[in-house]
Amino acid sequence: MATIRETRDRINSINDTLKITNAMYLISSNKLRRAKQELAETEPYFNYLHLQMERIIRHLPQDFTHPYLDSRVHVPDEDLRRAFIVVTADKGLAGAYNHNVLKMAEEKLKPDANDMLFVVGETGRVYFQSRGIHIDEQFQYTAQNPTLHRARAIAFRMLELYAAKKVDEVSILYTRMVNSIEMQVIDEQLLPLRLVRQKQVNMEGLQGVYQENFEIIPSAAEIIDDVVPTYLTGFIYGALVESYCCEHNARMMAMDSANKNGRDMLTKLNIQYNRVRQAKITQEITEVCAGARAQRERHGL
Amino acid sequence: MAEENVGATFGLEIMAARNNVYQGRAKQLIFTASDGGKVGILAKHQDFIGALGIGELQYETPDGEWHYYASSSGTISMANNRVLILTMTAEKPEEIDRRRAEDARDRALEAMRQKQSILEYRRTQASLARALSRLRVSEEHHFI
Repeated sequence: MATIRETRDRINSINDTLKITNAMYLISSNKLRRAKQELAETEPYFNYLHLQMERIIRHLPQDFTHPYLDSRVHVPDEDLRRAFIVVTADKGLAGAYNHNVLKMAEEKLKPDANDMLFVVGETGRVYFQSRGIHIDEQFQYTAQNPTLHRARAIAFRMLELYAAKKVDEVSILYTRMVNSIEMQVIDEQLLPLRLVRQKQVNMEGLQGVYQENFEIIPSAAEIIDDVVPTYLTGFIYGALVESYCCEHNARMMAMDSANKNGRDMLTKLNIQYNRVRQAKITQEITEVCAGARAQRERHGL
Repeated sequence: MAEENVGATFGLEIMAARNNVYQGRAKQLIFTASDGGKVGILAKHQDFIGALGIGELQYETPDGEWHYYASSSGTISMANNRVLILTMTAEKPEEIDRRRAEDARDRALEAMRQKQSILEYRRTQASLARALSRLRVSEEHHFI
C-alpha cells in the first residue's frame, strides 16, 4: 500500500528536520550565553565612561565648541538629514525578530531622500534592496559575534559623517530584551549627544553654584576627541550585543516551538502509521482465513 | 615617617573595557600623555582631567613594586586624591602577543605607504602606535 510508505517517508523527513531545529536550538542557547557574558564583562567600564563623560561635559569651558558636540539646534526639521543604523540578524528563522525591526525602520523613514540607512545584518540588507530602498553599500557589517572592534568602526564612521555635516542626526534601531520572553524594538538617538542638550538645560539651574574645579590637560578638545568616540563605541557595542542576544533568544523560542510542533506531528503520524499497518495486517489475516475456509469448503471437510 | 607613608598614597582605579585592571592604593603613577610625553603623578596631585595617550602605563604599589602595562588611549582623572583611568585596553607585558603586535606593526607600516584619507591616516597611525607600544612594553619588562 502506498500510504504506509508515504507516512514512513514523512516521519523520516520530520525526524531529520527535528535534528536540525534541535541543533539550532542548542547553538542559539550557547551563543546567547556567551554574548551575555561578554556584555556583563564590559558593562562596568561603559558605566564609568558615562559618568566620566558627564563630568567632562560639565566642566567644559562655557564657549567651548567641537564638531562632535555640535547640537544642530539651528537646523529646521524639514532639512534635517537623518541616519539610521538598523540592527537585524544575518539569517532568518528567528520568529518575528527581523520583522519587528524592519517594520519600525520603515515607519521611521520619510519618503524624501534626506534619510540614510546603515544596515547591520544580511536579512535587513536583502529586505531593503528587494524593496528598492537605498542603503549604504559600503556598510557591510555582520550581526554575528559583535566585537568592540566592529562597534568602534561603526562609531567612527558615524562621527566622520556627523563632523563633516553630512548628517545631522544619527539614531540606532535595535532590539532590547525586556525579559527572557519579551523583546522590544528601541529607537535611540546617538548624535547629537543628549548629554550636550541636557547640559544646556542644567547650566541655567547651576548658575552661581560652587563646582569643584578641574584642570584640563592638555586641552578639552583632545579629551573630547577620545572620549566621544569611545562613548559612542560603548553604546553601539551594547546595542549590537543586546540585539544579538535577542536574535538568539527569538531563534531559541522559534526552534523550541518548531521542536514541539514536530514532536506533535510525529505522534500523530506514528498513530496513523500504526493504524495503517494494523489495518493491512488485519486485512491479510482476513484474506488468509477466507482463503483457508474456501479451500476447506471445496474439499468438503 | 609613618604619617608620611599614609599620606603618600592615593586611590588608583584602572578600568579597561574587558577587565578591571587595578583597584587599590598606589604610591606613584606614570602615564603617557596624548602628546607622547610621560607624566608622573604623586599623592595629592591637583584635580585634573586629562587625555591618556597610547603607550606605557606604570604604577608603584604601596609595597614598592612597579607594575607595567601597555595601554591604548583613554581618559585619566584625579579628584580628591583618587585617580580613575579609563582605557580600551591595558595589557601586562606577559599578556602581549608579540607576534600579533609585529603583524599589526607591519600592516600599519604598509598601509602608511598607500594614499589615504586624513581619517584613515590617523587610524593607521594610532594602530601603529598601539603596536609599537605593545612591543616596547613587552621587550622592556618581560623576563626581568
